[in-house]
Formats: sequence, structure tokens, C-alpha cells
Amino acid sequence: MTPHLEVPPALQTEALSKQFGAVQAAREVSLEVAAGQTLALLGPSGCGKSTVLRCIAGLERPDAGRIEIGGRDVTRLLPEARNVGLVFQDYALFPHLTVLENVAYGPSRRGQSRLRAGATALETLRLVGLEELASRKPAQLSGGQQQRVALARALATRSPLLLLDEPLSHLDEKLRGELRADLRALFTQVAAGVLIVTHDQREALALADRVAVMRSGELVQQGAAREVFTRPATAWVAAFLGWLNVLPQPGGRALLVPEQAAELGVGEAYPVLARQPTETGESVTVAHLLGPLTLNLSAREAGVVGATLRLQIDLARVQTVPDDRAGHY
Amino acid sequence: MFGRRRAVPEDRSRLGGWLLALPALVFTALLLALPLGRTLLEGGVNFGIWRDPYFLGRLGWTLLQATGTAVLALLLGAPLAYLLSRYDWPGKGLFLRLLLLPFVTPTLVAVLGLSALAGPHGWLTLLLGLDLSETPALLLWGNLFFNLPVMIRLAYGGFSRVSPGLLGAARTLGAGRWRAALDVALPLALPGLAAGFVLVFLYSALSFGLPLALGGEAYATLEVEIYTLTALQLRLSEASALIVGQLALTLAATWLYTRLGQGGVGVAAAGLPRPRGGALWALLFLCALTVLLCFAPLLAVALRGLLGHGGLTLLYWRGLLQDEQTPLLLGNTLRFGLMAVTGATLLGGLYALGAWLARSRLLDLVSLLPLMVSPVSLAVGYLLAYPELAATLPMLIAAYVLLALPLVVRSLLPALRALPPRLLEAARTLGASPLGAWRTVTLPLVRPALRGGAALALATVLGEFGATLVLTRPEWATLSTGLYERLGRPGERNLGEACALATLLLLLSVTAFTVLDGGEGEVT
Repeated sequence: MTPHLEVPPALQTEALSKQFGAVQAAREVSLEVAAGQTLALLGPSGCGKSTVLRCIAGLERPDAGRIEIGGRDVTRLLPEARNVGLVFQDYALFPHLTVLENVAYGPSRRGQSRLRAGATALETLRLVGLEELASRKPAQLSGGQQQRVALARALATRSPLLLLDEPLSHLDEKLRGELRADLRALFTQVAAGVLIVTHDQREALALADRVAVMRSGELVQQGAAREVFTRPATAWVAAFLGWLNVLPQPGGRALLVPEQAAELGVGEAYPVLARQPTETGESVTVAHLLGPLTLNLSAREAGVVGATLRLQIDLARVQTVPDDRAGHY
Repeated sequence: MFGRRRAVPEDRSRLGGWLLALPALVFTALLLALPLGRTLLEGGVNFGIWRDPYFLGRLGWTLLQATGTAVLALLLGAPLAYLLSRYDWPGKGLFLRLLLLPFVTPTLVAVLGLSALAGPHGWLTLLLGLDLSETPALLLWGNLFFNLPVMIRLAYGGFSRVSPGLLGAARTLGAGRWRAALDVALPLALPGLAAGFVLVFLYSALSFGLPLALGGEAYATLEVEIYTLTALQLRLSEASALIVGQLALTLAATWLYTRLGQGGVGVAAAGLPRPRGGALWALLFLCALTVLLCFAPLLAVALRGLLGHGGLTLLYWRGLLQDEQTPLLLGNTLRFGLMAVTGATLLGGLYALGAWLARSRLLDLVSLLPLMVSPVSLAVGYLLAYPELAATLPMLIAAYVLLALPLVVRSLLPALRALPPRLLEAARTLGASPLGAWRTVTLPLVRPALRGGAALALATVLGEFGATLVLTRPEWATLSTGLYERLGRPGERNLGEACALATLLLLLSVTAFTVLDGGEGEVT
């Protein structure tokens, strides 16, 4: 996936490990983000993904491992020397500075004159569409506006690596949808390497080229976003990514049945176990031979469901993976 | 490296913290520990005194009056603070600001005000035909005058941190208004209330001017006994035993206070309702009582300075302003005050920063030491430890700095602790060095607290008279020693002029406080 061999990756971590007391927050985490590429580090809360991010930013010192940013070893450097742009989950905007001063802070700390920094900040604010709020204080902004200012503040540093910690978690559903599209466009525009830490698989799918799934401090799968979502490596990854039908099998295996594998209205009739209305139609569970199968039906499809449902599973599309869901989560 | 590797930056900042605190630590050692030790060594410590029923009685009375004050302050202050945190009305902000007035009132001014109201010839005494001057009631009132605001402000901080949503939840689950307050708000605000209780107890147990002037011989506290033994009877070994006992007591209380750690000041929730019904009446009653206890004595002083036998008069003020000593008193007071506050702000600022970085309970505790040690025994210790400096200006200013130091630290430390750590991390990732982050983020955010602490320190130094009395020379007389001296002279005219002088001192304190604080600082 490295587009040009001579361009060093925006970020490379090798076997990063960090322990807090008895808890292994990160175990040998190796990641790579090429310049211009977006990687989502995806995992449930408490899996250690934020620790990895803080290690990369220099806010936490790893117990072992190596971090390179733009080909430069930064493992031992202080945060201010690493040249990364970090967007905090709670934004961490400076309450005593205006929007413009917040965004100009990075450039001026990195040696630009006051005038130059102001111009850079204004230009970046224009990029996120907030130039008319430049003289406001953060407390006078809505959540979505604060998020954009935090993003602009990180972008204004012109860092080759942008780090985002749960960038949309504090926003409501509608805003999240809008910002997702904006972010994606922005990432292509700035050409920096981007690492997004998130627990939301939809966010990862919408924003990232590549996805790394993390569980209890360890990476369990890494690959192109589409690939990871369509071919989860284990039952746990599938369930975490929102697969409805992860059916345990004897011998520590599990079957992954994608919804597209089911053809309705043909084949055998299976008894319906449960029906649940959803926002787009109905979710129906039938007693299939493979196990209880849940299907999301549109309102029209659901209209013909009686006590039984006829369906046929295309076994070629069913995947068999190791079932690793027991034990730790 | 052996054992588990630890985060190096954190260790380094802890060490840096201790280094920052070092100047103030050395200062405290030289001006507090050393003189105190010298006092104790001078005559040895005669612990036999603790078997003497007389001194045990003094100890009992000291504890009793301090506990009584703390209980009264809690009973009045906690419900008022709760109502203040739940309801809004025009003028609430002003009321909370006005509660700072007693903080900056010199002890002698308060004594004058209380005597004008409830002394043998006081207005309340004449009005009610009830003479409180021979009872401990006057001392308790004096204690409450200074400490009720402490209680209200600390409890208000505690209650403000309880989100209205939690109380709403309790209400929807079937709890009545007062039930919700008892079940939800009270337990959550308990650390703030307990801290207020302990602090009021400490201040009341240690106060010197009030019991000296209002208690008389019958109600003398340990602190007054120490003064009598050292300054008047020169029985140092007995005094030393009292000092040690008092120190043990206050150290225990202070340790408890710092353990109760209540970070920062609560954020007042927006959109609070107006009080109605029972809450309104309770608020009115409690506010009126607070006004009577805390503001009436100040009004009485100002009025006494304007009222002669024949009604309103400017006679006393004219006398005061024509006195050739007055400009000297005023100039000295301002000069000493500014020098002391500059020193205290520098030393205290570094110390607070150090204590915050080092995350040390010990440093926290040490910062309170100057508040806990009897000023009289300290002043005597200065004379013993540094005889060559006895009547020099540096000695006097150093004593002021020591008194002002805890006020700066106590104001700054909570503000530093309330800083969201993310902000500093954000500054660092944006390219700021540790020093740069401190200058551009930490300092601007804690500046109101620093100004508040400096303002409080200035007001305290302006009104100081205990140490001044022991360490001063005639040409260094300040407003407060001038006031003390005038109180010693008999006659209606002298009392009137003393009241005018007290009003001047109070105005100066309030002005200095307002100018320096800018109306922003939070002081607890």
C-alpha cells in the first residue's frame, strides 16, 4: 500500500508496549500510516487505543517499542518536538483565548511571527468554514463548532501526522453525519497521514482507508477498511464490527453469515422466532439449521412474513472463523 | 533500570516541583521553624503545666468556643449555602462578593464594631436592655463575624458542584425538596462542609485579637494565655508547653483539613430558578441573620465615627485628618503592605506551583503552618533568634510575608488543581515547551486566583497589628498600631477618632482588595 517507496510513512510504530500497574494497555502494537492515508484504530472503550495515541503524541512514554514520524525516530522526544497535530476527544480548547488565537497558537509556538501565525490561522479557519467566528471565545460556540476549531487548531500546525481521538463522539447523530463527510474531504485536501482512534465502526468505515482492530491492548486485525469489514478474521472482530449472525460451531469455530447470503422467498420455510420493528423495516429471527439467523428486512419484504419464512443461504458466502469471544473481551 | 520503568517526565516534574517550593521552604524554616524552636529551647518545655487545672480549663474553653463557633457556622451556613446554590436572584453575586468583607476586616475594626453594638454602652445593649459584654456571646459573635463567611463560601463551593440533574432525578423518584437535599446534595457536598467546619474550628481556636479584646480574663483562650505568659510574665517554659500542645492540636486539625481536599470552586449552574414559598422565606431569614452578624458591626464602626452627642458630626474625621501623624501612618501602611505582598506573591506563587507539580500532601500541609503558629510566640522567637535584626525593617517585612504567604498559596493551589490536564497537553503537542505552556496557558488561567490571593494578603497585612506591635519602632507606626494606641486613650473624642481611623483602615483594605482582585478572584 506504500505509494512511493522514497516517501517515508507519516507514522510507523514498532512493537509499542505500555503497562499501567497490572494492566497491559498496549502490547507490541505495530502500525503504519502512509502519507495521505487515513488509518482508523478501532476498538471497544478501554482496549488501549487511546494509550497508543498518547504514546505517539509523546504524552505517555511507552515501556518498549519505537515510534517514527515522517521517517524520524521520535520515541525519546518531548511532545512539542514531535510535530503532530492532535485533536482531543474533549477538544481541550484554551478557554482564555479566542478562536483565532487558539488556532494561531500552534504556528506561533513553532516559530511563526504573530502576523504569519494569524494569517495561517485564518486560512485554516476558512478551510473548516468558521472564519466569521474568529473573534469568539470557545465557550460561545456550539459543540460542532468547537469540534471544527479543535480540528483547525491541529491542522494549522501543518503537521505531516494528524491524530484524532474519538473525533465525533461528543456530537449528535445528525452533526456526526455532516462532519464525517467534511472530514473525509478535508483529509484528502491536507495530504497528511491521519490516525483516528474510535470505538464506532461506522465512523471508521466512513473516514478511513485502512482499519486496525484492537482488543485488550493487542491488534487483532489490520487491513483495508472494506476488507476488514467484509472478511473479519475472528468471531469477536465480526461481532464487534456489527455482524448480526455469528453462529458458534463445535470445535471453537464460528460461522459468519452475511445478510447478502440469504435469498428470500425460495428454499425451505423456517419458523420465525422473533420479530422486531427497526427504523427501516423489521428485524426477523428464524430458526435456521445453522443456528438462529437474524435478518433486517425492508417494510415491503417484512409484509409477507408469516409464521414461517422461506429462505436459502448461499453457503459459498458463509465464512468460517475461529471463535475467540469467550474469556476476555 | 531496576523494577518497573516509570514515566520519566512525571518524575522530573515532581523533582522540579520541590525545587520551585524550595525558596519558600527555606524562608519558612528561617522565619518559622527556627524562631519557634528557639523559643521552645530558651526556657525548656515545662510539661508539668498540663497537670494544672487552670490551664486544662483554658484548653477546655479554647476547644469549647471553637467547636461552638464551628457548629453555629455550620447550622447557619450550610442551609444558606445550599439555597444560594439552588436559587438565583438579582444581587446574589453582590451578596457573595460582600461576604469577602469580613476576610479583609482588621481584627481591631471588628472589635470596635462589636463593642459599638453590644459593648457595655453599645446600641443593641441600650435597645434591648441586655448586656452581652460580660458573657462569651460577644466572643462567639466575633468568631462568627470572621468565620461564617468562610463556612458559607466553602459550603457554597461544595453544593455548587452537585449537578441540578441529580436533584431532579431524586425529585422524580419521589423525594420532596428537602428530602432530595438531604439524600443527594448533602452527602455529595460533605467534603466541602467538613472542610469548612475544620477551618472555622482552626481559625476560632487560634484567634488572638478577638479573645484578647472581647473575652476578658474570664474567657481567655490558650493563645491569650501564651501571650500573657511570654510577653507579660516572662514564664517561657510554661508558655512553651502551651505552644507545643496548641501546635499538636492544630496540626491534627490541619492534617484533617488537607485530607478533605476539595478541589476548585464549583461552577454555578446557569438558569437557576427564583426562590419562592418556603425557600424564599428561609433565604430571607438566613440572609438577614448573616447581614446582622457580618455587616452590622462594620456599619456600626462607620456610624460611630460620624455620630457625636449632638447627632451627625465631622468632628472626629477632621481631628483625624488634621493629626500630623495620619499621613505617616497611611504611608507606612501602604509601603509595608506593598513590599510584603510583592514578596509573598513571588514566594507563594512559586510554592503553589511547586506543590501542584510535586503533588505533595506534605507541601500542602506546610503551607498552612504560618496560619497555625501563635504569632506572639513567633515574634518572641524572632527577638531571641535574630537579636541583631530585632528592630529592622527587613525583619518586620519578613514577618508580614510569612503571614501573607499561606493566603497566596491557598488561593492559587485550588485554581492550579482545577486546570484540565488536557489543556497543557494540547499546548505541548502544539509545540509549546513546558515553560511556554506555563506562560501561555497556565498563568493566564490562574491569574484571577493569583490576584485574589495577593489581594487577600494585602488586606491582611494592612490590618496586621500583633507582630507589628512586637517588632515595630515608633517611626514605623501603621494604621493598625495607631488604632490600637488610640483605643488605649480614654474619652468620647478618642473613641470617635478611633472609629474614624478604623473606617479609614477598612476603606483602604476594601479598596486595595477590590483594585488588586478586580472582582474576579475566588477566595476560600
